[in-house]
Amino acid sequence: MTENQIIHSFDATFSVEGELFITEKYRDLYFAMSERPFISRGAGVSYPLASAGVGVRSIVSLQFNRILEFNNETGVVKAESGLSVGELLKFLSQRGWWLPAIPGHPSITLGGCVAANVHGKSQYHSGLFADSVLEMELFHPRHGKILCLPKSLPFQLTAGGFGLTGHILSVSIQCKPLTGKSLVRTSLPCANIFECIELMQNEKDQYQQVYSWNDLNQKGEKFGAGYVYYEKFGAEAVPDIQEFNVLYSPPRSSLMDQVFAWTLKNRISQAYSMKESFAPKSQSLGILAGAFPINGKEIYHRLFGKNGLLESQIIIPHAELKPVIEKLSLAIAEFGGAVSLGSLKIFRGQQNYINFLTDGICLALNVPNSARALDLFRKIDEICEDHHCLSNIAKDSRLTQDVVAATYEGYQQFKKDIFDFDPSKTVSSALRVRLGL
Amino acid sequence: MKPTSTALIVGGSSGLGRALAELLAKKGFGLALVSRDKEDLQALQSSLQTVHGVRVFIYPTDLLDPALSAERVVEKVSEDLGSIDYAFLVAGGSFTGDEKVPSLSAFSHSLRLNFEAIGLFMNAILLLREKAVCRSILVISSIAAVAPRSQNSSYAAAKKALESYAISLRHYCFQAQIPTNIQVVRLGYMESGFTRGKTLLFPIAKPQAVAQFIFKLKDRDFGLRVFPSFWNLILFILTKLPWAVYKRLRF
Repeated sequence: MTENQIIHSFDATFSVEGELFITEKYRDLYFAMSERPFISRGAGVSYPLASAGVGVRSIVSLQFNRILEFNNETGVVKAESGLSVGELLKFLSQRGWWLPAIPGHPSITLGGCVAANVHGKSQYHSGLFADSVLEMELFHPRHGKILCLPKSLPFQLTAGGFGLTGHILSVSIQCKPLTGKSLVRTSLPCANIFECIELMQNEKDQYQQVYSWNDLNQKGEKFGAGYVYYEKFGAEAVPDIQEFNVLYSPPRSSLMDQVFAWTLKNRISQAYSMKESFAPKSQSLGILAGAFPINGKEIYHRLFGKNGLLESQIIIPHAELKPVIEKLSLAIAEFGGAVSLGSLKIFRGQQNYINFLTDGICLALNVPNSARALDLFRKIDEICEDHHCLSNIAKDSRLTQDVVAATYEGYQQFKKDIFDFDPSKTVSSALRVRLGL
Repeated sequence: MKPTSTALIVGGSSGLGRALAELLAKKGFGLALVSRDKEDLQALQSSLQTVHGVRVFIYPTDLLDPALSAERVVEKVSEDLGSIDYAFLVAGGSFTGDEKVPSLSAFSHSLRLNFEAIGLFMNAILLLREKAVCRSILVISSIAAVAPRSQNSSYAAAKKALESYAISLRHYCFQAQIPTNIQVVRLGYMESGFTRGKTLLFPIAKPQAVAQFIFKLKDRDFGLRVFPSFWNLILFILTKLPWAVYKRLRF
């Protein structure tokens, strides 16, 4: 069944008139892919327009959400690509297993996790999502069904390839044993961003997850002051969330959304800082609540109203940290607006195709969308090009082909290989067009 | 150990059938699923076995196939499951071309899928009683059976025929002292490929909600129920409208 409608990027900064195709039958699914350019769409919570495009049929995978196989001895699970990571983790955790890389919100589908090759809070320990994928079954009208193993070209093109190889039918994942009944989170204040990084580096091998929240609105020596969070599994069971929430989709243009945006969008960072100053330094969370920190905070995206938000997530090579942070600090001061969120994680790995991966410190920042914010983001692009930082394609809706080509070593190779795989561009999206792929 | 209840679902791979299968599997039922598409059935079978650990048998069957033998399918189900405690005959749907004066294919497909095939399965289950007595057969009708309109005329006619046939068999079962309870659920709007994307006058029920209702109904003896219940009032009003008003309605 098809519906023509305006499809928005989740950050609410772009939209297209597209066609949503919804089915729960494989026969209809294959037929839908054979008729016209298409892209698969999971929960539709990708910040950029990765699962929609002008003249493109967005094939919704949410009805294909079944767990197909599970081996309790080996921890290998096979599921359809429309299954949400939250439902899968609930199933696994009840059986003593865990996913290595977990994105922030439970509604993200497995297909989405593979297509963006997402990282969790612990990329340093667990790698990217596709690192734990043992095989995938893919469908492309030109190639039919393909069973993709990790070393194969279709697998490499699909992991972090933003859905451009076709529709992921199923994913087999190697899970890891769950070693606790709760997640113990300890927070430690830090005076500035460099101190945060030092604290994270010092403790990264002692904890399962290490990350930070940073106030990027502070100036000078205090730039990036905040809290470092250390997480590890605890032995004591605590009450956990039973049902997951749904993210609030754009357009966020109701009167209530506008009131939220007008009153609160520039005070988010202040509010979080105040909340953290009263929070206990150590707390035990249910394992699902701990795994999905954004669950329950769905109001966050509403606070940006109909204009939406801009997110930049960059990996700064260790050797470039000082100059990049200094330039960033100046750029944000010049911007004059409020940064809503700043956060750090530690990354390690080798860049491949257009995957968001290299050695360094990952810094994420959110700002309300505005002309001045766009100026700030253009400065961030320049900083990235000058200092070999990587910008996350999955987070930044306005990232240009030039910036991606200049910063991703694997861009040209990905462009060539994806064209060889699908020369008629049967699979397309606004993201593909924007990046010139 | 309490023996596991068993259920046959005709139209069991998607929509209401899938929702029922998932609910019954959660309750520990052994299941037999009949539907056209093998790949959909296999995925559901794997899922129900993996998540709920229940026995699930699948029978890829095209109900539009003139050579369909409902007896053979039901006998095989009975052999595999050992019994058929409940039968949920939920297959159905409308076809392109079923508006104004329906095309021949829409007309014949509609009658076949919504009436004849379901009727054949009811017959086969009742004829099987020497081997396995089914406690309850539940068939799905539609509000269209009460309020026919120009948009799906042969669908409405088939559902009306199905209701009539099911109630006749219910009457027969009582008189012949066959302990099989036949019931009809008359459905209002339900989320499906046919309603998706359409702007409808009244709320659309989720298949999971309908499945819950049907599950509660399976051991009751109401004969005919309407779901969601607000449709009782709407149908009452529609049946009382004079033709001069009814003929102008667009719904």
